[in-house]
Amino acid sequence: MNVKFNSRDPVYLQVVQHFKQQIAKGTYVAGQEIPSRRELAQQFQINPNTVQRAYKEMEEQQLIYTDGNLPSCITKDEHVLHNVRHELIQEAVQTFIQSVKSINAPLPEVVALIEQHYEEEDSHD
Amino acid sequence: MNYVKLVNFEVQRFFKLFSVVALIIALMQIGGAIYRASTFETYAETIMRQQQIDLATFLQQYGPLTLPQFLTSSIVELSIMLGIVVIVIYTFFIWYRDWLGKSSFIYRLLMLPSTRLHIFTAKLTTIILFVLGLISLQRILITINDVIMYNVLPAPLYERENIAYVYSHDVLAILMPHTWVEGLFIYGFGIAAVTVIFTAILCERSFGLIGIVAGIVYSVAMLVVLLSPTMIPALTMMLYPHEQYMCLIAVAVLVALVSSTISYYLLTRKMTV
Amino acid sequence: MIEVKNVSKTFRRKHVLQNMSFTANKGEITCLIGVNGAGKTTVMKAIMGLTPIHSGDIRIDGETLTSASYEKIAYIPDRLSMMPSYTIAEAFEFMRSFYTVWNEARALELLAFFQLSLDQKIETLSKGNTAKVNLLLGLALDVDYLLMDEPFSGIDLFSREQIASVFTSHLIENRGVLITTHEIQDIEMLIDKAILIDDGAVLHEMNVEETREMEGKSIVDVMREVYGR
Repeated sequence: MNVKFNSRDPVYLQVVQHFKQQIAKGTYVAGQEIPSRRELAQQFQINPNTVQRAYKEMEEQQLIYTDGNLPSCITKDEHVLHNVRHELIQEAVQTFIQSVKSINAPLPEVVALIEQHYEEEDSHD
Repeated sequence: MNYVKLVNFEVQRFFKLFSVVALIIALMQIGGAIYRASTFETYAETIMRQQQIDLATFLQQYGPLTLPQFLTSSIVELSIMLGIVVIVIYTFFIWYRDWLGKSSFIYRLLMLPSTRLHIFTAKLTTIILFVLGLISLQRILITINDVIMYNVLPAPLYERENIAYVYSHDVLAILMPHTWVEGLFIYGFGIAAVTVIFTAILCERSFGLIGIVAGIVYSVAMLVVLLSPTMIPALTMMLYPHEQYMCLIAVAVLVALVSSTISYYLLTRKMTV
Repeated sequence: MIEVKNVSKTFRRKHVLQNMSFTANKGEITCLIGVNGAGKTTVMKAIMGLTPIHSGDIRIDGETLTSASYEKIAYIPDRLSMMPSYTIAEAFEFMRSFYTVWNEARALELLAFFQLSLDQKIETLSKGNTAKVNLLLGLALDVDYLLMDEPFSGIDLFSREQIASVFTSHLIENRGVLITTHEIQDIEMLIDKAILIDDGAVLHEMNVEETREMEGKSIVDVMREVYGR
C-alpha cells in the first residue's frame, strides 16, 4: 500500500482522503486498529507532524477515535462510515459531471458509455 | 576527565610515528657504536703496524676511544637532529592533520563537551611527552652504547667514563641538564616555544594569510621576550648565573601563559573550520 | 528553539551572512534551502561555534552556546568528522568516552539499520557508507537539536531512501532538526518549515503545509517565485 502524494495540496488532507478511500473500499472496517502516527509517517515517508494533523482532523470528523494511550481505531459509527462512502461517490460523480458537461455531452450517450466501460473495467480486474 | 582522555587519544595517534622514529634513532646509534668500535680497533692496529709502535705509545699519542667522542660524532648528531626535526614537524602536524587530514576531525574536537583549552593543553602535553620520550631513549642509548664499546673493544682502547661525567659535555648538557634550575630553564623555554608555535598556528587557522603574518610577528616578538634577560646588560652584569636562570624561567612561564590565553581566545572565539 | 537573530559575517570582504534571522523549533524539521554558497553551511557552523560571526545573536533555548551545549545540540557536517583509521567500534568508544549523551543502544540499532558492522574500518567504506557512519555518530547522541548539512549530497539512490526514512522515524521524534539541502525533492514531504536563502540572507520563510493549504503552492512553486527562475 503506497500512496503518491502531490506536493501542492495539503498533505494532511491527502492522508485523510486516503483513509476515506480505504474505508469506502472496505480495507478498513469499523473498529479496526490503524497504524500509529509514527508507523504511517514511516510507511508513507511523510512528515510525522503532518500525520499527526491528519489524525486530528479525522478525529474531529469522527472517522477515528482514540481511547487514552491505546492505538487509534476506525469509528464504529455505521452512520459515519456510510456517509464516507456516500461522500466519495458524490465527489467522484460531481467531478465527472463537470467534465462531461464542459464538452456538452448528452446524458443518454454518457450513461450508455458508462455502462459499457464500467463492465469492461470490471472484467479487466 | 576529558583532558586526560584527549592526551591518551593524542598519544595513541602519535605512537606509531614515535615508535618508527625511536627505532631509526636506536638503529643509527647502536649500528654507529658497533661500527665505530670495530673501525677504531682496525685503525689502532693499522697505526701501530705502520708506525711500529706498541699499544702504550699508541694510547699516549692518539688516546683511547671515549663515549663523548662517539656521542659527538656525526651519526649520533644526525640521529638527534632527526628526532628534533620530527618533533618540530609534529608540532605543526598535530594541528594541521585535524583540518587537512583524510577526515575533518577538527569538527569533532571543537564540538566535544569540554572546554577547548583541553584541546590545546592535550596537544601541548603530547609534544612534551614526545620530547621526554626521545630524551629517555637517548639516556638508555648512552648506556647501551657504553656497553657495546666496552664489549667490542679490548679494555685499554676504550676508556670507560663515569656516566655523569659524560653528561657534562656540551651537547648532552642540553639533553640532560645537571642542575634543576638549568633543567627548569631548558624545559620551560621549550614548552614556551611550543606554545608560541601553537599560537601562531591557531592565528593562521583563524585569520588565514593575515594570521600567518601575525603569527610570525608574534613568534619573533616572543623569542625576543624569551631571550630578553640575557640581552639586558643591567641583568647580565648584576645577577648570579642561577639568578639569571630564574629570570629566564619567569619569562618563559609568562610567555607560555600569554600564549595559552591567546590560543584559548582564538580557539573559542575566532576559530573557523 | 534555535534562534538566529540579525547575524552577519564577512569573509574575505564578502558578506557571507547578511543580517540573517530565522528560528528552528523543537519537534520540527526545518530546512535551509539555497544554492551552494548561499550561506547554509556557514550559518550552521556559526550556530555550532565553528566559525565566528561579526554581529547578531544566536541562542539555543534562550542560551548562548557553551561547551556544555554540545550535549544538547549536535552537528553532522557534510564530511567525516571521525578518525578514518578507526573501526566503527573504536569510533563508538571515542564517542562514548566523551559524550554523556551517547546512546549506545541507538547507535547499534542504526548500525543494523544501515547494514554496517562494528569491525569495519571507516576508511575502507564506500562514500555512501562513510556518510551513513557520519550520520550515525550524530544521530546516536541524545540531543535536543540536530543540525545536518546536506545529508543527501553525493549519495546513491538507495542510501538516500535509507537516510530519508530516518527523518520519519523515532530517531528524530521530539527533536528539533535543521537540515540544509540544495535539492529539495529528496525531503519535500518530510519537512515542516522551509527557509529560502540566497547571498547570506533569508528571502522567505514558510510553513510548507500551511502554504499548500492557504496558497495551493508547493515548495518548488514558492522557490520559483522567490528566486525568480
